[in-house]
Amino acid sequence: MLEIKNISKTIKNKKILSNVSLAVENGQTLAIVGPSGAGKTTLLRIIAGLEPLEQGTIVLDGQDVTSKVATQIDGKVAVVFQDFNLFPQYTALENVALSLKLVKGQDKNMANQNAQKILDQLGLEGQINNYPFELSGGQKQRVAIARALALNPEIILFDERTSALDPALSSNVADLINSLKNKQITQIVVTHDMEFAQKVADVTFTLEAIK
Amino acid sequence: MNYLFEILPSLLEGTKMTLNVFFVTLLISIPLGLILSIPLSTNNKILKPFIEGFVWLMRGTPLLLQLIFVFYGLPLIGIVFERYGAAIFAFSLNYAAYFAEIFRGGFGSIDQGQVEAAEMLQMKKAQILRYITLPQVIKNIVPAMGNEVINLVKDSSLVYVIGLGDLLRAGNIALSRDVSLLPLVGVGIIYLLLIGLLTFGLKRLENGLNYYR
Ligand SMILES: Nc1ncnc2c1ncn2[C@@H]1O[C@H](COP(=O)(O)OP(=O)(O)O)[C@@H](O)[C@H]1O
Ligand SMILES: [Mg+2]
Repeated sequence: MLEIKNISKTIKNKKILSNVSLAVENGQTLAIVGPSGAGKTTLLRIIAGLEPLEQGTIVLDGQDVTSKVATQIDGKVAVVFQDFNLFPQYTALENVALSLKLVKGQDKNMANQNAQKILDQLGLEGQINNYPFELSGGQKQRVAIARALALNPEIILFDERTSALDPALSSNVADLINSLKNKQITQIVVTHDMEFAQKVADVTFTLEAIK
Repeated sequence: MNYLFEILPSLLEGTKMTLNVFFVTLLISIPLGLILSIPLSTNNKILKPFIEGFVWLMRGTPLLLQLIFVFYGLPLIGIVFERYGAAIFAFSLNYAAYFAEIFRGGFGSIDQGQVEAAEMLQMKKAQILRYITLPQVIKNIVPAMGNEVINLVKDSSLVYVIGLGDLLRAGNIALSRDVSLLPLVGVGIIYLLLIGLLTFGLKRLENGLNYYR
């Protein structure tokens, strides 16, 4: 279980989060919904360890991990960024294979095979040799998901794009998130789209903007 | 025309020195500029102001002055360089300063999200530099670097003042010996050829890096 307790965050003298608490069971999907500017991305970044925390605790399976940045929790946490942050100089396949090579120490063949497997599962078999600039928004998002899955994370943090994906795409992403449930991956999905949240979430948490 | 072929060997001899100064300077100043740019891109309280001062000094005074300072000035306080060493020393430091600024700008233009994505994938700092940021920086700075590299070909003629036997000196020796304008024309043609070749190579490199956006 991942527990967030009493988190507050101020950026540049502006209070963004005030005493936020939430919890999600292993293998469950939590949707965080709220209007634009409510602090959803900030909250996700704090959980990922990308944003220093001034107050509150983060507990993972009973262990206090507040002081550890996520990068120190052995790749347990993966992020699908709002803008995907794919590496532009690498193909879809290389984007996924890179961490397998550099972090897992797999040789090139092995890493490419494993990366290809993940991309195939996400319906990207036709795009593996495309560079990010050659991919549509939805394809980029799936490559970002594939890249996040490469290191077998226990938790995926998913920052859904604010600009609405078209309905067909959005329902694709929902299917994808639901398929990850079968893999026992805990997911936190940030979205401003209530309907989308209802499709994917076991639990929904609403974040209100601070006036 | 025959005369030009007669003096060609001595001009080529000078070209060798010009190319030597050019390549050795690049070999030292590019890595040095990269190293200097790393503290420049951070908030390092000690190193950053120090390097900024160095860059300011190197870019704020003429290279010719620096060259004369190293070869004729420093011996007065007991630091003696031979001609070649003085040239390489002055050129490398001067160009490292320019390259450091270019690299700093290149690193500044990298989206921080790229680094964060790599961090979340557990990559180490050195891996992030080698595989993620540096390739993007290089793509961004090739045009600016290209300008400096072309300048270096021409700047290398400044070694004339400390008596190093470069292309310009070879031409000038022939000029005063034979009282003819042609050696200088020959020198000009060789510089044009060198820079033409370099421009072509840089264009190819730029195109080669354009496989992604
Ligand atoms: N680095 C930052 N500097 C200044 N303001 C920021 C920064 N990061 C976030 N904010 C502000 O924090 C608020 C919440 O942002 P964000 O977490 O991106 O909200 P959401 O993802 O819900 O749209 C916004 O008002 C935003 O302007
Ligand atoms: Mg957001």
